[in-house]
Amino acid sequence: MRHDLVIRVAGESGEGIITIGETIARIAAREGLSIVTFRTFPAEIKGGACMIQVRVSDGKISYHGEKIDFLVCLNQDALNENYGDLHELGALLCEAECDLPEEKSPRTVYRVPFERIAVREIGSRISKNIVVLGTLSQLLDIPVKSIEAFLAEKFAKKSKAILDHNIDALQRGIRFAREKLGGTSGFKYPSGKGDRRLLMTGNEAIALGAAGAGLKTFFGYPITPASEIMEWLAVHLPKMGGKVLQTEDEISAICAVAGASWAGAKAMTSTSGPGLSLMSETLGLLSMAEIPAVIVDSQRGGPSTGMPTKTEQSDLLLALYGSHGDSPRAVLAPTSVGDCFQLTGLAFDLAEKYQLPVIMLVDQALSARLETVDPELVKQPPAVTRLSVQPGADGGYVRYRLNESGISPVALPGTAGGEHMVTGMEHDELGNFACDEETHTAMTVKRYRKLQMIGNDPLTRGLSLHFGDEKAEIGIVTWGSTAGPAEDAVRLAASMGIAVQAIVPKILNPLPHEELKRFFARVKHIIVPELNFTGQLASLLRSTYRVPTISLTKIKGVPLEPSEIVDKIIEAQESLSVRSEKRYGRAG
Amino acid sequence: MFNILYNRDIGINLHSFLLPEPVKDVGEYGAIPTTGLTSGHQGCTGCGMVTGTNQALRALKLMGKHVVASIGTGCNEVITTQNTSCWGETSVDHNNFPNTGATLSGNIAALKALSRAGAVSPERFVNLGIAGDGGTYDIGLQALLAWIARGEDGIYICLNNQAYMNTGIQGSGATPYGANTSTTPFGKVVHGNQRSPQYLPDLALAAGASYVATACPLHHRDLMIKVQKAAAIEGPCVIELYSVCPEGWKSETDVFHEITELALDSRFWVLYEGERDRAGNNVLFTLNYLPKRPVSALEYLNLQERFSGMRQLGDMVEHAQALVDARWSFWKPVLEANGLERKEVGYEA
Repeated sequence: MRHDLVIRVAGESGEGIITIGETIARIAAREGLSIVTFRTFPAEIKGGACMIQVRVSDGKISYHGEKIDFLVCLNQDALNENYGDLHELGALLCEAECDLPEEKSPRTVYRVPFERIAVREIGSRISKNIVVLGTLSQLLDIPVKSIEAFLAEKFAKKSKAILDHNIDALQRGIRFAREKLGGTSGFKYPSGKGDRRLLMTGNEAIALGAAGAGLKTFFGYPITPASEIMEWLAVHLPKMGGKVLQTEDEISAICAVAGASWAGAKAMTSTSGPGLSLMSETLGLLSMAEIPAVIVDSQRGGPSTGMPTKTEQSDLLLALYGSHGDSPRAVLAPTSVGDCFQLTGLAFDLAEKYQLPVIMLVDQALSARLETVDPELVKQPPAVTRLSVQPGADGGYVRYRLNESGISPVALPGTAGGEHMVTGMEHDELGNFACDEETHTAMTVKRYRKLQMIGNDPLTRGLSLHFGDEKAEIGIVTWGSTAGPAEDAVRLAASMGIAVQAIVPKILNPLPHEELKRFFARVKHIIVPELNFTGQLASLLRSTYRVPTISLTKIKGVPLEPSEIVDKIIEAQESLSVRSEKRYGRAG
Repeated sequence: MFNILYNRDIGINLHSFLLPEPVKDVGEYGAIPTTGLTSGHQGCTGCGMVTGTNQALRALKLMGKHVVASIGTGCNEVITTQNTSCWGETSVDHNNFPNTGATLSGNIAALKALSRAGAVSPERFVNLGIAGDGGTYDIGLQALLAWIARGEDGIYICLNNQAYMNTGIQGSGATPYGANTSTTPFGKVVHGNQRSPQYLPDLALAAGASYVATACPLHHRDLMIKVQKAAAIEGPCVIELYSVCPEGWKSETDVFHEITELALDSRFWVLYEGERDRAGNNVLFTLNYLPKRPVSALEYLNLQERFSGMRQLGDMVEHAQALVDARWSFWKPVLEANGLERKEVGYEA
């Protein structure tokens, strides 16, 4: 039997809340358990409410969990804000002075004077989170040795006094739990299988994936929630011989990408919606001039400055169509941290092979999410490099040659005999400005043919996730990080006796047509859950395949919950049974 | 290009040759109760820009002006607009990150059109643009310089805390040499920010600003007088405020005063102003603060952990000192005219 535990720690930003959650996550990952976390960020710079939720499991998971088994609240505000999400059989560990709402549920409540222990007994308020960690580990029966070993590593570079101070705080927390709370709670931390797993955030996985794919130049501009990608690369890419440059804005970042890539180096930028909006014009240039580029958009609540620290999936149509004119680009959408790593590699391969911009859409929740990754997943196949020519072989170099494959060989600047002109103007095969109808048509067709070829490329085959029962009449199509709650929803519905099947394409431009058409042929209802107001994927599916869709949207700045998707599934199920009643008449 | 003229007098300056009469000193207004920002801001403990913004707004309100503020995305915008606005009776327009200068132009055009139609009287209003150093030196520079070049009336205040603090302390065009930020990390090979910062008053004067000034909340009289001058002088006026940031500078929250004093005495931050005489193609420069005692660059760097790496490297400290000295040499004629020995102002350091 699968063993799952959902823990949430909530309090004030700056109190070390995140450290508690991350420590639990890192220890679990070392023991071979699966972890998915979700954290919220205060919009304020310092202070404000924050929380981290950690789901630990000995099975495969892709969502951070809906109802909380074990809630930790360090102040009254945190309790008021989070208590409603606690499972009715869950347990609460809170600061002793907190008031609880009146209710009848048999929840267990542990009160601990964390503030007093930290300030009076230890003499340092900043140790409070380690005291909490001690009490929590005792209640959940997490091996103390693993925590001590973790702290020893964490403070390896600090003095022994600091480590001793933290171990003391940990022990005081443990002692309190043993002496005053009766030792362990009924909630048990799953036991691990021993094989250490990797634990990283979506942003780290993207940066690592890019470095692994041979990224040589990165250009970016600070923006929440994508900044960590640039920050990681600023530290590590130079060591690998690469170059990171922070530009003065996003327009400059993507134009520098265009320059670097044209000059022959793999180039990338990362941003969020406002930045992608600014980059739109240059997306067209990259399409027109056929320059490989990778652009990561970590979506946040929009439009305009919107909700920088909240998640949303509302840039899909911008990623697909943003820019004037007909400007083809590929769009990828990872569903997990493992995907963030792998699809970044694929993004470079597609960009290089097809000489066009590739946009990767993640979102705030996925960017910031800590998740275990199977070490097998972070092995990349050999990278694809762009088709280059040995100039002079066929008597003069033609940059935009209209050949059968549609991919014209590239000559890098400085290649003798390969001198050529690259332009954002419409151009003929040589790159010279041409605006006659034949040239514009032929070149547009050439550029769009690449999307068709990407759809047929083995690199993009079998990318979609499938789950559920293939015979089910109710289908779910979703994208990006909503795959996690959708997978849990399918499982939940199955446990209620409702068969559902789901498909999650990881490439959204071009869509995997054959796979989707087969899926649509199998189902009667198509539910499309996503985090935007207008139902962007739903409208894309309707316009592309002329299928009716049931759009399920949410714009609350947090991910969809499986139960919200299940509600829609039940509605669909009811309409199916009404229909069959109509067809066969009411029995009895 | 313009000719450089120096004001021989050093210190707070109520006068401007661009104005028929001096502006009032803060004390001369008497006990008029004015608030700049209202309560409830969510700035960090020890934040300098809240105080600076407050003083600037107060100065304008003392003049009886209705402030129309265009605020660019940044720390100041975030901490004064969360849940509740702290802008009181100010009219505020939060625009996009790159657009503060352009929004000012829009406001000014509207004011002109509406006043032509007799709908408003322009004297009642002051157009104020506020942005951070990221929104000024980097993404907003094009809009800012274009606004200055158009010669339109208004005040642009840059709250310079020397990096993108709101998004996690990434370096900006105003980040000091050697500072450790998340995008200019201090490592074994590359030691923090390798670029030296740009200077807004230089950029603004090159674009044609009527008035430029630097200020700091510690010297609030100087700051408020400068804001009032900017409101009275015709054409684009640009003021840059030194904004202490404990979060990003990794300094203690209670050394606001000490850090600012060290910045001024080490000449990392120089209080001055420049007024443009368009007809004669001159800019008159006034030094508003004379360092009290010679302070080395190292002493300034000591209070801030963002410099903890570079402090250990003699070459880097020397380079930082050289940057400061080079910039300070601009004031040599003024110091000499006042018979100030080099030692007294410590500029041989």
